Amino acid sequence: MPRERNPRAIGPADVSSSDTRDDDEAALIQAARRDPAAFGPLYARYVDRIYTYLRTRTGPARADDAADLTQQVFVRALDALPRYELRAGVSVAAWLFRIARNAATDWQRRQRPALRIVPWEAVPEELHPPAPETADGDMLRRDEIAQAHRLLAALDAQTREVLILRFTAQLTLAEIGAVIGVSEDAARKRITRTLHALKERYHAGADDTP
Amino acid sequence: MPAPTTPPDQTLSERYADLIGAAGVADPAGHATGGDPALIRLVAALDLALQARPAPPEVYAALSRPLHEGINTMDTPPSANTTARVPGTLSRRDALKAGAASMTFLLRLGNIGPELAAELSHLAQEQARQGPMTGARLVGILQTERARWNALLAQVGLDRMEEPGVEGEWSLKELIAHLTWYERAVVAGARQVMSTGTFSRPQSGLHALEMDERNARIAAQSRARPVGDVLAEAEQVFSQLVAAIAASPEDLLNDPKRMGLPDDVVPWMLVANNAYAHYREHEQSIRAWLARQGEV
Repeated sequence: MPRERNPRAIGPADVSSSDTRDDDEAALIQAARRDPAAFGPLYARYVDRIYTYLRTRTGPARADDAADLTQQVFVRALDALPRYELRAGVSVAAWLFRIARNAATDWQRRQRPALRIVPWEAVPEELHPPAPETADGDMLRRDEIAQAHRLLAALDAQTREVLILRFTAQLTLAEIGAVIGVSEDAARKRITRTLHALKERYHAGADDTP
Repeated sequence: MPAPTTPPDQTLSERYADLIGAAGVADPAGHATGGDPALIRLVAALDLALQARPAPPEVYAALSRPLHEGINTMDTPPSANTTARVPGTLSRRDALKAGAASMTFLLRLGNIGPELAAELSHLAQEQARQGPMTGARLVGILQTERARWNALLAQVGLDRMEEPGVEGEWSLKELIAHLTWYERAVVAGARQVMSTGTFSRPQSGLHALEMDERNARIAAQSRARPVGDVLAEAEQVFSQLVAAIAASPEDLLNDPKRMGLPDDVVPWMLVANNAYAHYREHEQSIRAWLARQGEV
């Protein structure tokens, strides 16, 4: 059984206090309309997650593109600040990831057809995190992570993207719905259905590994 | 790395309570204790396998200008490269610090991505410091960038310019023809303004097509042409571009009204967008292609 890893160094999930987070971020947006410097904390909060999400969309040998797209996302966000409206279910996180998703889609349209679909196996190793030491010194086995990646590789891109939005972007189900254009309930069903389909395969695959 | 700005340390069960259910409670050490063990195990593996990774330093370096004060409150990665510019040339990444002025309009012009729009915005900010753009200064920038571009072409070499796969399926020859088409359009526009005093965007031929279709046609038309012809045409058009810019009066380069542009989009930005900024847009694909062939 995997144990808890060390606290995340990267942006928080904070799902349980999303209302507080939304209020805080809405205030930052308001301040950033007057002074772009106020956008800094939001940039710091989301840049890693946006970048990692975009790496999964651009694939190997395109790290520069993912970096450029990440920058574009925030440039676009700054440009769109005057038009941003905080609405129910459309948090700052959902807004930013929607911009990121659109940027990735635009990027993929500009690619030749053969490059438009990035196989999960092609996602570079650097995005496959090493197994870190947990608080009590145990190591999460690398083969379990590898097994997770094998399962992800077998998913279609849309299903995999939803998992990435939940686990990488740490979006709430409502936010995922806002990003991909479905209801929160539909997002929940999509993820839970996928997880339940994966868990037996994961269990079987992990047990098979030496 | 910047420090997290909201509480970072949540247990797995807290982070994924919506997925593993209320039964997946954590013990005092934060370890999940209830719920469906198989599901919790899978969620734990996905949590680790899909965790966000740090963005590279250049991403942190970008946007530091518009967010100057905010970024200064963060920890800058030790290897962040925020300068390294050659006088008279422009670093694409550095220029991205510029922000988004004029970007919306520039995006509508077609052959431009947000990153180039931001770079041109940066140029506009430089103009505010250095005064109006002159023909001589713009020619200097164009020639410096062209020499850089030619050095990259030389690295590929004539014998490999028809190999596909450099930019999508395009060969370098097709890419050069693509760049030349847009430079020729600028030359035509500059000549039109200087001869008639007005500018109107062409609406026929390839100009009338959507950008993707237009680009595909340009590439297709170049496919059967010898490399030498495509290169010679590229050099000829670049010479025409330099001559046109050198002959352009300062107000033509700097006055948006002369070309019916919004007040904050000066005409020379269109020249830059369709010349060296366009080279830079494709340069990384060429370098990636070289890297795939074992060359850095």
